[in-house]
Amino acid sequence: MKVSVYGAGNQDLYVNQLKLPEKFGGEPPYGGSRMAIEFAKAGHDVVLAEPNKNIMSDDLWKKVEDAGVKVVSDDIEAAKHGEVHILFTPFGKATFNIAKNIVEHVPENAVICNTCTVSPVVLYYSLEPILRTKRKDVGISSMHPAAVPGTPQHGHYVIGGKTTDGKELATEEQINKLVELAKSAGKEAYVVPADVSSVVADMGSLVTAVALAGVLDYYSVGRKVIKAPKKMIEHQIIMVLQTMASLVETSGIEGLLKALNPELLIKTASSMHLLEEQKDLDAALEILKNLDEELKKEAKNAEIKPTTLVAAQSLVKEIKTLIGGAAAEGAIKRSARKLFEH
Amino acid sequence: MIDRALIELNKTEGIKGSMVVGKDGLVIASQLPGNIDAELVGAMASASFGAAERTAAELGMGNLEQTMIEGEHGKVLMVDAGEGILVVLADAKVNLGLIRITMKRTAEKIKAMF
Repeated sequence: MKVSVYGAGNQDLYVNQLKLPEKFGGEPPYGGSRMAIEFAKAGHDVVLAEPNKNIMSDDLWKKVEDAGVKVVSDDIEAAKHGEVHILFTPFGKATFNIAKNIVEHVPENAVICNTCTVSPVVLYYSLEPILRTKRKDVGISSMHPAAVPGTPQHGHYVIGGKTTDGKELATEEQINKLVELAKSAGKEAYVVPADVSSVVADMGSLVTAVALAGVLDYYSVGRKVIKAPKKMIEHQIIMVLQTMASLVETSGIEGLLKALNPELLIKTASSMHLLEEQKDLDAALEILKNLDEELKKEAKNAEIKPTTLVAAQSLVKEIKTLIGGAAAEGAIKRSARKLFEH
Repeated sequence: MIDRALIELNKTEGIKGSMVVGKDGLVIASQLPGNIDAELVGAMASASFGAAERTAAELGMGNLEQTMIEGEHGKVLMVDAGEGILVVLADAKVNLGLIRITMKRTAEKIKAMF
């Protein structure tokens, strides 16, 4: 298989700041360059595009090239090579710019995959004018390592499949190609809905894990102890998650903290300690009691900006009723792009 | 191809510009005057055409064929073009009959191109 990887990975971040060799093990190079090495060792024809040669030392570049990876500095050269394109690129706008730069040059039926912090769905929206007109053959998915390549924890890839509402951003054949690529490198392949992949694979999975534990804890207490109706519990969970998400969107973490008032929250949440074992709640209360002083100060000075606390799915249903499915979907796409692309 | 059809359409007297947008507002082709934000107008056209479509359906009027927005200084006409909407910007005082016929012909051509 012909594979193009974009971005070697910031070795200074991995080795000196995160201290991965000491904490997790493995050895440099970490990141995109390690992915490229592993794919090449699995017998694939791999090109690694990295415009910044200084991102790694010469001995690390030698390791990459000794594995059989062709290193180029030009994204377009890499674009013309691969049937699979993996963006191990900097966070945010840079990734979208690289994707827009390469999409018209990739071979027929190629698939472009994100890795960190970009949702394949938002990447699709961002490229949609081209994907729906000039390059209908190109697929979008994710080839998310969901750990740092090069560490022992990286034993899997998260691949974005059909979205939860059934949209195919990539063909079945393109998805299968990614599964095959992951397996050939000795990794487990998890195909998950494309709109869920970032939530379980990105660094934000920390939030997902903790929030999910909280949701399940309340579900358990609500059903077993309080014996509340399932619908009521679900409504309260929706209210909590939507309120928190909306506040983060308008007012940032500091505004969220100010609006939620940790002192008050400790008092109310303590009274929900109704089972003997509620380790997640114990941990949460402990964290809230010992908040960082700097963060508290920032929260005190924060502004809670006007926030529309909406029931997202119900709102979508209402808009679809008023202006129709296609127009509503367009509005949703544009708002997602505005929120996440810039 | 679609651009060529729009350029041809724009030659009709009174038409200031035209565009084709997907039903979701994605701009497929645009031949609008340079000072107009095509992406924004595309999104608005999709929302207003969609709302008109839903209203027609709710009132039992069948499939929507055309909508028109009349302003003091001009008109916007939108007709169904299959997967897309053909949007035309026209002067305030125009021969609407002629524009409607020309738009219908262009919409048929566009339908065949999708």
